[in-house]
Amino acid sequence: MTRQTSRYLFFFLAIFLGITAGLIFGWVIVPAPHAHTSPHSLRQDYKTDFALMIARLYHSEDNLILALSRLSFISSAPPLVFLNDAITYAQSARYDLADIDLMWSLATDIQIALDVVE
Amino acid sequence: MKTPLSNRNEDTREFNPPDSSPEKRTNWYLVTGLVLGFIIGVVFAWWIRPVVYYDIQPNMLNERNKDIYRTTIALVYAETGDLNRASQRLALLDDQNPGMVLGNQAQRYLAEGQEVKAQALALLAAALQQNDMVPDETEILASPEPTATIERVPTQTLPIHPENP
Repeated sequence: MTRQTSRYLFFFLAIFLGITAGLIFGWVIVPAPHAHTSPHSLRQDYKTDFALMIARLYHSEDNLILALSRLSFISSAPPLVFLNDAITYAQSARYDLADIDLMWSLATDIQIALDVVE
Repeated sequence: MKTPLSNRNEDTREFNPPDSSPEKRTNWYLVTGLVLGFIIGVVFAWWIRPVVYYDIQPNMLNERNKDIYRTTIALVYAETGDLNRASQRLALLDDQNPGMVLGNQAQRYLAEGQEVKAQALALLAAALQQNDMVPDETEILASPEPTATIERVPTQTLPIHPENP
């Protein structure tokens, strides 16, 4: 191996080690700032509470489009899937029946709207 | 023909020690590679494939998403008037001074023409400040015993430890 070849080899090896160190630094030691967190990553109990707030607002505003927009803020899943998960969690966490009924009401209206569209 | 070499005294031959500076120049290219690789790694880890967080709490949201969260809480409070619940939800955002943050956000929304949201935020801010000014009689009468730290819950309807219903 010539001297020049060994220099290139060690140079790329140094780059590889630097990349490894950079990844460890950026993923483990100092992860990316919370600017990269999304409401979709919220824990299920917080998502359920937010779903309850959306259902409460829908109950007073009667604006399905706005409710769907708010649901898309909190979850990337289809609205009915998300609401179904939220209601299931609310039932397991023993939410007030009135609160669960609000979410059921919103889910029902979304289902009716989807049936009309189809 | 005489050559320059022939003028030299064989006993006093010049001796040039080997130059040590090429060894230092050799090491610098390794340092450059390390630094370059480190920068590439950090850029990849922070922007191209950043860490994805799961099961986060509301206080880990960025400011824009916190604003939306806070607005939703305020709108619900405007409908229900349940200050206790609104306070618990606001506490999840870990704002140092929730009333002030709400007020500032209300002003921003008012300047942007979002009057309904601004009103809701201002209403909740005022209610919180009013609640802070009125002392709670139960707090005055209760004995000064340290309270146990309970897990933060988003609503009153959740049990204290949702993982163990």
